[in-house]
Amino acid sequence: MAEETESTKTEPLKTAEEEFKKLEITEEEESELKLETSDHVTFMVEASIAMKFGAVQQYLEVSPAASASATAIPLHNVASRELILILEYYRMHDWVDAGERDLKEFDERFLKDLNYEELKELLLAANYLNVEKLFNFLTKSIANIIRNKDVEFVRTFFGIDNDYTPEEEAAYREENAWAGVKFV
Amino acid sequence: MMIQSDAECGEHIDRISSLPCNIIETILEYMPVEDIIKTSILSRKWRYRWTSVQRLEFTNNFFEKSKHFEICSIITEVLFLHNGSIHDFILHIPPNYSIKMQCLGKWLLFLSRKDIKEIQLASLQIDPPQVPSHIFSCQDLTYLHVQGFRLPIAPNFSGFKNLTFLYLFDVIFESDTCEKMVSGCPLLRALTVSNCSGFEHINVSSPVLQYLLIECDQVMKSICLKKAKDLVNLTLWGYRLEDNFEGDWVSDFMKSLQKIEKLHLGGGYIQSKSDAVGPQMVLRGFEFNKCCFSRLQIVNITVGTAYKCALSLIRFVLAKSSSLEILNFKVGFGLNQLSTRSISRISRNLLRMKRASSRAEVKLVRH
Repeated sequence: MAEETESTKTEPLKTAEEEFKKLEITEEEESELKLETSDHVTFMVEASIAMKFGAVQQYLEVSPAASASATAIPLHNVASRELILILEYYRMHDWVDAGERDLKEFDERFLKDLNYEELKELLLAANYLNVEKLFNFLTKSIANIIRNKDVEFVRTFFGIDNDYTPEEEAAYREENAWAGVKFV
Repeated sequence: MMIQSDAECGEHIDRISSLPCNIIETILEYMPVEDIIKTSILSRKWRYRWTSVQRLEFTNNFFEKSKHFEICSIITEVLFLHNGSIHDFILHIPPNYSIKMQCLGKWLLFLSRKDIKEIQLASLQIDPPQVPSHIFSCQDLTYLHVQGFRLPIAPNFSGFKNLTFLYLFDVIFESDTCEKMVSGCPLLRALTVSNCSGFEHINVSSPVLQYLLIECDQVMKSICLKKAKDLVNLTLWGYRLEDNFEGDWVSDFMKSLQKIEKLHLGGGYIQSKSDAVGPQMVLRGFEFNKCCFSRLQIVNITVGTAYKCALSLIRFVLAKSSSLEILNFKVGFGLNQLSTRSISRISRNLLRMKRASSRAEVKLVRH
């Protein structure tokens, strides 16, 4: 296919006024909230990001005074290690210029850097904070990890103790043989 | 991810079993049925855990795994063991597999009593099977995706009152019942009708429709969008339009584009075989309607070699769309190639056109 592209682009007029407007907007968004993790580390977090956390929203509904940055909002079930990761994730996903491919690469790298224990801790923190996007991303990633794996893998992955007797297990495996769980 | 190092640590904490129920349920909901069932063998605690999962997905891998078994009875058994509501049911029948439609009918009836909200049915058979009429018993549906089926509409069909998303691919209708189907869904927000056949008219009665894609290779007589005032994203693609195409829809359709953000037009919707219909209708629509497309950002227009009416359309779009970011104009689609001279004439034309948006980028692509 012969492809010929002619682009006739009119460059936008970037007047000083426009630039100034942009600056003003960013300044407005700079308001921050103080969050305190379970290990007593305080974080100053952009309100635009902190307000994505269901737990923070809920806290502010009950005690609106905390939005003045003097008081810290306590996050009882989130350690600083997890909050750092959560903020890293949300700052990337909040970044206006991030394209779809950037986000995909970021997500892959983000997941690769976590071992299973960290993954679980992070998932618990995301669940507690009620951060939908990260929660869905992590649960989906775990589903992908255990998808199409054998029962032994899943047991090891989650550290599940098998309390079936060998006879029971054999019977249940036989029952679900179609799902590929038959003894080889 | 470091599977090895973790397994070697020999930690015997029941990590996921200690996770809250909502987390486990969400994880299971992202998995196809053959993996969900396997969790019943993990431990006693897990034996019936899967039975409350609200999403059941039977796709390629399921068929592949259970090919030596009686597939219909496995699906029946899974449904039989299930406990509670099922919101999501997905059945993709791969080529070379078949499902008894009497079974599918019973499953659909069963699902209609289990609060079913979303159904996806896809079949890749050469001879498309017929969707059992029990599909219409699922009155709480919000999402319906049908691919590769014949879809007869029962005479007493009263519509899907809660349906928000309707995606139809390769669906064969009987005697124009597609219109009946679409107009029976007053809350539709997204509608896709792609490569379907057996109908000549589409009448959208949902006032909240935002996304519409109509793509077909067959003869269309009319598309009525009178009530669709909220359209944000519209794609119309077709090769053959009937010569006696009821042109009125075009001006109506232009009137409903007040909120449009993305517009993709291709093939016969711009290019007309005879001079009597088509382009004039489009233009008249624009002139009648002195509005501007203040939210329109992306436009794709694809035509064959008859580009003149498309150029007139582009002139209007450029002059009236103050937020336009990009307009892609593809010419020479199909067998005939355009000469370099015509291309340079088109590009000169495009350059001269007045633009309401200073950001607008116009791209001319030759096939």
